[in-house]
Amino acid sequence: MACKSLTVILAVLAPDNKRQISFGMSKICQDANTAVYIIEFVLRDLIDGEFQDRVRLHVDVGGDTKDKDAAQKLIDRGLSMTQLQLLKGPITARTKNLAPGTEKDQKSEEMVRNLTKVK
Amino acid sequence: MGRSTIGRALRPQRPPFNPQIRPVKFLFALLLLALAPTPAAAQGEPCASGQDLACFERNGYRVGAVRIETLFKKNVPLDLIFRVQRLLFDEFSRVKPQLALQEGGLFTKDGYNTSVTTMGSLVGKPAAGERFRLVLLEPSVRDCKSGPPPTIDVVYRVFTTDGLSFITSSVERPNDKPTRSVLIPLPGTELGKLQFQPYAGFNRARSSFGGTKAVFQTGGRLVSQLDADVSASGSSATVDVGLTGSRNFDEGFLNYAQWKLGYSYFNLPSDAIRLKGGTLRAQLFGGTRPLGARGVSLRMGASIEGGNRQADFAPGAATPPASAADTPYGALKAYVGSTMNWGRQAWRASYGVQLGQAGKGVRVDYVKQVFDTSYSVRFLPREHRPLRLELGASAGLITARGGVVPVAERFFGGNVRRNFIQGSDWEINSAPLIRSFPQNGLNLIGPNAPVGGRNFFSANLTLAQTAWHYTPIPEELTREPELRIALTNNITTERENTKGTYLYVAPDFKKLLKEFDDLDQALKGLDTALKAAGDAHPAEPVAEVIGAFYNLDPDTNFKLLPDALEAIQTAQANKKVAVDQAVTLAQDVPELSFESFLTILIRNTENSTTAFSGAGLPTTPLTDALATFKSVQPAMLDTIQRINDIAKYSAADVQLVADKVNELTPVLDDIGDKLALLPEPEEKGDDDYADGLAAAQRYLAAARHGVELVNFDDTNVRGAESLAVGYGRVPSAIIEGLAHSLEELRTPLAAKGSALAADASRLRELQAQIRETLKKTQTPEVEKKANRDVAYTARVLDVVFREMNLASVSPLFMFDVAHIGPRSAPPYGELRYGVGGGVRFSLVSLDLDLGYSFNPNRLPGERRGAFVFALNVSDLFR
Repeated sequence: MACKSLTVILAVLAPDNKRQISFGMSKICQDANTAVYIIEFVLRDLIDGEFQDRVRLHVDVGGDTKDKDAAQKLIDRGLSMTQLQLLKGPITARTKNLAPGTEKDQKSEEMVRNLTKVK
Repeated sequence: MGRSTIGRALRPQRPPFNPQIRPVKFLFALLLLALAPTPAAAQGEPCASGQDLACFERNGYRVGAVRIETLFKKNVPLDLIFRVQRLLFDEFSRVKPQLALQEGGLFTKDGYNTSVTTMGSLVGKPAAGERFRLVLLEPSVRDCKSGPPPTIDVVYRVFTTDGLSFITSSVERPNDKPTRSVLIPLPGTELGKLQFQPYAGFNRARSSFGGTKAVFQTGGRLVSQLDADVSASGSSATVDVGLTGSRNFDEGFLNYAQWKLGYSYFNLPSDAIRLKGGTLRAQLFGGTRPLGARGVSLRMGASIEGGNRQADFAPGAATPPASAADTPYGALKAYVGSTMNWGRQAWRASYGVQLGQAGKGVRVDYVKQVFDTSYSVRFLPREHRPLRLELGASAGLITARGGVVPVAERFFGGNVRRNFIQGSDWEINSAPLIRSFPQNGLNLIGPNAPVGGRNFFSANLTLAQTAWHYTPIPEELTREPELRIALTNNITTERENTKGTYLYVAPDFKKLLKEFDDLDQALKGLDTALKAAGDAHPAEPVAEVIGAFYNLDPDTNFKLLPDALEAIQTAQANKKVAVDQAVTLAQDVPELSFESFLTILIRNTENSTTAFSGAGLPTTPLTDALATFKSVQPAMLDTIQRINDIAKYSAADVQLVADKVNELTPVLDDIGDKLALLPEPEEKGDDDYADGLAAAQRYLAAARHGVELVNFDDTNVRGAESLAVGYGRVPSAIIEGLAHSLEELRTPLAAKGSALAADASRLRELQAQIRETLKKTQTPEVEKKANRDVAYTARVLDVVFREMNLASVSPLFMFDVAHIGPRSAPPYGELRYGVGGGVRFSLVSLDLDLGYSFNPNRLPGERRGAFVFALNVSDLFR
């Protein structure tokens, strides 16, 4: 089957209207048969009346076939309530103390990557 | 294990899209839908290297153009009308400099990959207040040129729900907005700007008239909006100005409340009379959230009014003896209404009562009652060619209570609706609507009888069949499997997210709040003790153990005690996020290598107790806190479990569904085997075959993932729902997509296609059986609530993909019947009719009706009919 690139971005606003979490899943074809899978996590806070990016993590999950399969499943299944709870709870709690402009935090990236393992 | 890459430099100081552009007129808002599709002709020739990114990098390709594509690109007239193109490219130009790949620069694989996610993230950034946004983005490389230097274009096709937000928020009346829990931007982006909405119209009574509506959002709590509506012609004038405040409620019976202080003036002619009046009013309106399974919303309101009413009569016209032509005016009005939308049908009904006063002193001179109802339905025999049927009926009665009834308060019929409560967004027609008479033209109940009626009835029918249309979404995009699968699964995600915000309805939620309180108290006690000890500048190891509570831990990235207190504060301030915070506080998640705050707090407090004890410092506050932590953590975990359980299906139901879904497995395996044996598309040289095969393979993979999910998640049946139910024709069931794609292969494959078609039939049988099984399951209450919210998203998507037109033309048929009374001398007071035709021009959901309605039973002095000119917003997105 020919490879088809697609990015799906889900952005949710916290009910207090002061924080946004954006969770993007990308399948990016590198050639006709292979793809990389990337998850992008963005945390935005309302500062001076405007949502500003605080943290943006770019997580490559295309390291091996097993990872790729998990990433494709995530795209095909969407996120469960439990996964969303972890995204909005522990993962956000960890990332909110990262310095503004952070683009790399290994532990946070691991958490995002491993979200695929939770049902 | 995969590697991590670093994204491009952040620019938090500037938003990707200028919020100043956001409140543009709703037609402009279509731009983001317009981002979606690309006619095949605009896509250019495929590169010789296909999508082989490494090949482009290896051969030193440079980036030619970085662009997005719009449907409107080649449609100059629409471009001119909507200015979409310019607006769209203005916005994209703000995003473009932030992408890793820049025009003229070297093409790199990593740059391309990073640009895709950056582009997605920027386009996916919700507007201030937007609660949920879904974006689908399809990147590609196209138009490679051999050079020198060799270049390749980077093209993004985008679909985003942002356009839906714009449309829905723009065309809905403000009071409809709070009924939507998703997709609706909250007020805020339009603050401090005066916005005008000019309009023009014609009717025989007023002749040509023009005017404007103007709104200024103040953002204040008591007065949030100033609005005005002024229109005039050579013979008429209307003015309406108001100060409005409102409040939305997150829970409870009421969804919103709105208060208004306003003034209105009208000076409207008809054949024999000119009606004038000025009214100062104070009003209070409210609405409930959708109630019951059908989502019925109730509206109610009251208005206290004072002013004057005048009627100038033409020479020789009868002057009503029992009514006053020039009187003071006072009224207390109240109304209750109801509205319901389901599928392509919409219904509403209202009753209003007015206690009127036409003299001085506090008394009731007359009582006016009105009833108004409407029903509309859109049939869709062919996609994008709806047949629209609109029915309406109104009735009214004025009962005199010994005093006079101002002429201007009596019932005058014609081709313009008259709102019972001026200044209200909830419309209750309070005059006979008959389009064969000009405004206020139906006013005689006898040759010498009073002008205007004391009772009325009218019924109206409008039928419009779309004959010509221009759709925003190309058909090939609507059929695109990747889009359909993504939409289906992401609406499910939206539902899961919405479910999570309803968990506070769980019986155990109060227990969770108590646990937050206990923990808060313990943390504050610990905080006091630690700070007191810290103020004494203790030696190590005490200083170190105290620091562990406050300093940023490089491993966990927590400032333990402040973060724990903040989590509690967040949960206490907003119950919709309380469970998320509870998870952070109490639940270790081994899959994420995450230790909860309480686990770390317990460890640190134990260490501190030892250190304090060794230093001879008092340990009681620490041991007290420790005891609370140790008791609260398991209790909170238990509570989280119980709360989350209300969103789960019973194990028996899940098993029942899984057993049925697993019957798909051999069928899917069989289909997979057959597809594997089919010739490669290159061998066939048939584009339809290639597309059909690719679609079948994609749906097959998605179906297998769905089956796996049903077996993986023993708490939910969402996998089965995505497989067998879906959310309509476009975010469709995965099995439906697979079956359809197999059937599509039948023609190019001949005999082999028949075998696949048989598989498709088997799939549909199983789909029906899974649906039946799902119906037997007990759906959790929070899921029912979430389903109701998400149904709106699904409905809007269905409208966008299958029904909405950017522009359309529909022949129109109109029929009206009306009566004003009391009947004094036949034929006056008899039923009057209007029969006519015309054309409806529609721009998205804005309808302009032009036509003529004949008066088939004319009475002396009456005209042959009247022109119809009506501008309405359809219920496409309500």
